[in-house]
Amino acid sequence: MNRHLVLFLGPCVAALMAFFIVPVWQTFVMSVHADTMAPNPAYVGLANYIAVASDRNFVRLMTTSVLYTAGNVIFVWLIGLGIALLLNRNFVGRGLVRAAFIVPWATPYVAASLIFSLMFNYDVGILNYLLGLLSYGQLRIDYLTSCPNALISLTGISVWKLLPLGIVMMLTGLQSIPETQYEAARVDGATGLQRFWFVTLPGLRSTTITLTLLMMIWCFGRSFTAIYLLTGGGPAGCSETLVLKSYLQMFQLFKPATAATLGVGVLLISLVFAIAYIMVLAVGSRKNG
Amino acid sequence: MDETRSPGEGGWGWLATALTYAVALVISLPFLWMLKTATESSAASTAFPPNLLPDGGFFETFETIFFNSKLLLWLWNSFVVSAVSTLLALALAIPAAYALSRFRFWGKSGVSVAILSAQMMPPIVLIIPLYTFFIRFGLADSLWSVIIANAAFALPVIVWMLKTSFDTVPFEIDEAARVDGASWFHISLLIVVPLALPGVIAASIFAFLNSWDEFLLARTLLRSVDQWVGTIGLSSFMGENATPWNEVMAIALAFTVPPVALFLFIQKHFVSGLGSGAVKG
Repeated sequence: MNRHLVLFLGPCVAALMAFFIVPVWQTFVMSVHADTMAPNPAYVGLANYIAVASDRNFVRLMTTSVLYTAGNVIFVWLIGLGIALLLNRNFVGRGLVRAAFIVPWATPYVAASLIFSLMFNYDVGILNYLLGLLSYGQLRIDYLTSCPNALISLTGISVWKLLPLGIVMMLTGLQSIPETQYEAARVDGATGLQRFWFVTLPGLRSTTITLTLLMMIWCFGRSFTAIYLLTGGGPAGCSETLVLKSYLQMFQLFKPATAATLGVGVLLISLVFAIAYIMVLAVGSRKNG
Repeated sequence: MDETRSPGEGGWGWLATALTYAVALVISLPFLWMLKTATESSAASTAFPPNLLPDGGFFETFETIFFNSKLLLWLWNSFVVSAVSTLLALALAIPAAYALSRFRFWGKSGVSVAILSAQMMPPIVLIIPLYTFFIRFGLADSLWSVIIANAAFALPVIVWMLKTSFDTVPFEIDEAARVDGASWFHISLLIVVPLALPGVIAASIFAFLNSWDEFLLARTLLRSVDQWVGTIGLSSFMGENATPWNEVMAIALAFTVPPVALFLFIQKHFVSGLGSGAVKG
């Protein structure tokens, strides 16, 4: 079996080494060398880390990344749960409605960015048109070119994209709550709201933990495409995340070591989430058998 | 009929149903707006107040985007990249997933944890050095660079999806085939893969869609217009005001239809695959 093990597992493990472990190591090596595109940069120790952390925009950069991630987690959870509760019933047209809720997931991120840039358009966008109808022409919003708005709009796009994941996970979670618990609560005279609070919410505990961690990992580590395309991190850097900044440092400002240092930062923070996620999975599988 | 009515909804069911339709409409609005803009004339696409229904500029728009733009080339590039990287990823992942599902060996849980952690890897950390790597080996601006990288990026997730679906095939089947003298290669490819076919299809579609949607690496590597994949071609219209919105949305639509169709096709498998992966660990 040993020979087969090497033949079966070897190529895949080699590919994972070449495309995951080696690049991570190289990023780390780049982050402790001088910030230049020239070959053989000098070793500088932690200088790049100190420079990144003492940058006057560092706090803003971290805050933006955290707010973006937290906004995603909170709204995907809340809206996902709401929609899952609506979908977890029998009604006419359920298949069609479920398909409608899956579509954002399948829409390529670049296409979604273009669609939203049209809808967010200040002058001719549908959102400002609807807003104008509701406010008798008084209100127009600058969705992408003013300061807290840009980050809020970008978070909204990401929530729209990830909502299907939230709905699917919440539906699975809801369906795993045994009907007997609801019956017991009903026998005890619990109202609908009490049943939701004392049966549904506790029953969704493990789903909530898994969803939160997955969302943290994905939103934090992949906060790139729509931000890059729609605001480029602006205006005045107020929608710039760690990932975007890392990209811009590497490919627009040609500062590989700063980019790598930011990348290592993204990795370390993701690693904390990932370890938590794997521990949750391990506890879950022990419980299941 | 499954009994999944939420308890105690009484006479309010119709209200919940109406609310569900309303929410579904709001969530679908971006997609519908793309559909509407793609099928109207360029004059209508910038009209304010916007028309709520297309005015029928459909054929003209689609003639323009298919015959007077690089759309077909970009779609073809995206298709080649996605298809080849999916095949490459499957070739590596099927044997690995089979080994993880069937063989007992030292270090198995270590490999499993490594594969799970690789799923969480932020792409930017990999792309900075990979960019340098592909430049050095003269693969920049070649579809091969994106094909190879996408195959590798898909590996951690599809190995896991495949392992989960191979786990559902009883081991007794392998043992029976083994007794009959079949080789491990024969068993894994000709017996277990066909039995786990829904999972294999779901994994393939996952890998395909992942490549189809990939933007970051393609953006850094593919420079010349003829090598662009769909994501890069599409992104070139961002902030560019020369192309009317109806054409941009028609191109976005042409690029969105294949993944949406695939997604709706495998909806059930994909969803259950995700669920089982999360529960089984």
